[in-house]
Amino acid sequence: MEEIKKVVKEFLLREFLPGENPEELTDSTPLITGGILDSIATLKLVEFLENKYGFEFQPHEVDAEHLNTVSHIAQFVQSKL
Amino acid sequence: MVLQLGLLLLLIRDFEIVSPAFLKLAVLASAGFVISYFLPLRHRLVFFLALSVAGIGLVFEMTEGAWLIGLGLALIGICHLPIRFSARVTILILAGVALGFLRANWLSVPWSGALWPILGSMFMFRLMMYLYDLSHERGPVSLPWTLSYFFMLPNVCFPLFPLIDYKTFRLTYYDTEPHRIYQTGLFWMFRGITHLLAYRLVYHYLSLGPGDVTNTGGLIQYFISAYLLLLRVSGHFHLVTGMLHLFGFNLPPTQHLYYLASGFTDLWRRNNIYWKDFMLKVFYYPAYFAARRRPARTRIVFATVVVFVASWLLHSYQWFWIRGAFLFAWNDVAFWAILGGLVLANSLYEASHGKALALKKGSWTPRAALSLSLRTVGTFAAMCVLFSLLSSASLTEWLGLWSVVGDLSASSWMLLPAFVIAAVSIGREKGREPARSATPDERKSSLSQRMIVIIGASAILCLAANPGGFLVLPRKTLEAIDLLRKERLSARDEALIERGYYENLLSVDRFNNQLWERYSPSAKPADWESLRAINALRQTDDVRRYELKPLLELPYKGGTLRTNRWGMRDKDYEVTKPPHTFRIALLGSSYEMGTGVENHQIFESLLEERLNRQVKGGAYRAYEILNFAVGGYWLLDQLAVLENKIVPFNPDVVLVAARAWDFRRMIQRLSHKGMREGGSPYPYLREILSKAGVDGEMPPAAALRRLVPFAGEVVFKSFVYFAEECRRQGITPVLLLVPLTTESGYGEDSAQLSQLAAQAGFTVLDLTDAYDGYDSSRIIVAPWDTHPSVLGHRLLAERLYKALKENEALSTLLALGSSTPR
Repeated sequence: MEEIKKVVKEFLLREFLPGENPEELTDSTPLITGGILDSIATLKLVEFLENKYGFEFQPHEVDAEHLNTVSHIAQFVQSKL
Repeated sequence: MVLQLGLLLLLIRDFEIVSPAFLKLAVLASAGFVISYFLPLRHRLVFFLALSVAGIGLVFEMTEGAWLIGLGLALIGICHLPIRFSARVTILILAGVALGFLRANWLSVPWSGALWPILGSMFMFRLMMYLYDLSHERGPVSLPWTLSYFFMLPNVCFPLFPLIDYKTFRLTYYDTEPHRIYQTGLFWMFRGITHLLAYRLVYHYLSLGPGDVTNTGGLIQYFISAYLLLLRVSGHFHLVTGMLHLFGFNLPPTQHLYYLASGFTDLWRRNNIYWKDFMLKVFYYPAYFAARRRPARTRIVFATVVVFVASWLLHSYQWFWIRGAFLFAWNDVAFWAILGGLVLANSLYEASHGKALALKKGSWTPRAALSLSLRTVGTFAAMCVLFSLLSSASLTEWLGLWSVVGDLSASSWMLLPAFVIAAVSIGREKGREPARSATPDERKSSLSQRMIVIIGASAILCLAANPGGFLVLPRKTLEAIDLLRKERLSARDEALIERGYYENLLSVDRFNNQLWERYSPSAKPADWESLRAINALRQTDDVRRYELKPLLELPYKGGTLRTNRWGMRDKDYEVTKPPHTFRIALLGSSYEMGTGVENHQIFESLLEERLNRQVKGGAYRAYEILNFAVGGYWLLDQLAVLENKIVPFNPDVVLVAARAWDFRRMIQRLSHKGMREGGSPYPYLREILSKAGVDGEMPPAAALRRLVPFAGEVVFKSFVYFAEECRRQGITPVLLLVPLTTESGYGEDSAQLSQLAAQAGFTVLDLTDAYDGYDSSRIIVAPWDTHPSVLGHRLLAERLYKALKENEALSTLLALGSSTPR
């Protein structure tokens, strides 16, 4: 789980938050409801997770319930593996 | 919190926010909030459901409410039939089609027509969301959740309701500290009220009809006002979601500073966020994943096209359930196509180049602020133009507006710099806006600030609404506050202001008499109908088009419409004037015809009675005032009445009633195709039409636009023609300047009208101060009808008598001071 969080954080910081202090991005930072991830960015994250972990998202899984925080994302990925 | 809620209720009452029914609902919700606050959490949802049902009972009659709930339960029941999901969807579609036939009035139904917009708003989209979540969830279904979702409290007063996601509705329920949720709700309700008040200002002071656009400045004003009218939608949505917060539903914002969007994808995310979420969930993501094997850019293009086609079709579908007919217009197609294209281009750009995102507030730099300002200005300007397209009656009319570009009068230039400066300022402010507050201290401080804003601003607004002896305000300010206090039609002709898609849906009660009755305590009776609807008119073959039928006795707007054998709303008169009789003919429209009062209560009847009581026996044995007024007649029609009907009655004086809006009415009549196609019967009008470049083929809005600069000339030459015709017949022409009952801000037009009439040879009697000192509610027939009441007519009769006595020439002519028979 911690490994997944690390990978996700690295991706988010590299792709969407270059130059940001990594410590500011916590496990509970709201990504979708906080406006950090918009729909295009969310789809980029989905594509990354699909390629990295080898599973396919269903359309209804692309929402705040599954992707709103790094913790949520890690739990969701874990459940798919 | 109770203090804040109390102040909000006062604002809703004093400014008549949404409708009188909403005030009742807001009182119910406030009382419910206090009870809910003290209830254990496990009982609150059921209590909310009970309150929602009570809200339905408060607005609708018991039978109607039962039908609404019964129909709703039937639709919800179909969603849970113990059969395959696809079969349930099929049955729901069939049920929807059957209801659609009933909605289109193909068959009569046992419930009131008031039910349709509310039933539609509760189920037309929420069923889709509910089914979508039902198909992906495995957990047990909770009846209180389902029923609360569909019948949720404020919906009964809002036919245009934000599209709430079922999953969000459940997941956000008390998901943080209750006080924080409640305070957010109160703040949103307050924000909703301010949006609605701002909307009223825009509507009264900024909005223009397409015919009013005569130069580039007017065009810019038209564009901006079309977009700003969206404030009414955001006002309603904030009130709805704010009220839901009072019961623990910590829903996301519906709109978020949408006028400050810095791009089209940004706008799509800020404006009507619930719609955007619905589109993403039900259309965008399924379309995107359906094209999974295609390149990313192709998937974005495909999904975006699906979303915008669906948005266009579903807006027509929404129109059907709320208004009862499908909407298809090319300007709608163009609007959604252009907006879709802009969002797509923006999405593709962001997908390729990325978008600057940040976790914390960035430092302010002039370059960043300027860039943001320019993007904000560009987006705002483009949306103003796009919304004007959506608001126009047709694509042709909208394209016709552009013909004024190039006419850069001084006023045109004044708007542009103001626009740029405002945009730069807001961009700068936006640049300084914190990205998000996170710490508990920041949250606490934000809640306190909101509380202070609500209490302070509400108290000021309440005081402004009831200045009493506390505030001495300038007259202009008092007039502006009076305009804010009620949602009423603009001073301009309603028919000329195409108010657009959302305006029509938000004003659905204006088009649905039964719903109007539910929303207004002293409701407009269903038989409050026009002259045409009660069959009181017959066709004529001159410019008037119609006249009153003779010998009528019909119920009409709270009174009885009685006409004599000549088709006048008056007692009977012989054509030949009796000896020693002073005869006056009155020309006018619905005010003078006495809409909403009885024949003997019309001011001309009162004056006639007074003259015969006080002056008769002097110079004349009798005074007669013959009422030739007909609703909908303006100066051009009155010319025809003079020529065709009045002359044989041989009056000594003709009183022509005029109001400040006659400039507009005149050119409006002249812009009608019927007036132009066969050629005007009056040479001076033909000459003006030719000078304005107006022909028989031109659309009315374009003709009106061209005629606006000639309004003064049209009125003046009509006055001259009228006065000459009177003189030829030995009649004295008198112009009565009659006050409007509710409108204000026409002072300059009244003065000009008076001046032109005097120059043309009329004696002018200015009665515009007749209602001074009286509250407008006392001098109008009913809240839904602004014709003069019995008191209004009495005041007019008194003022007219005084004016006649004060005018030396007329006083002598009528022998008001002599006693020698002529």
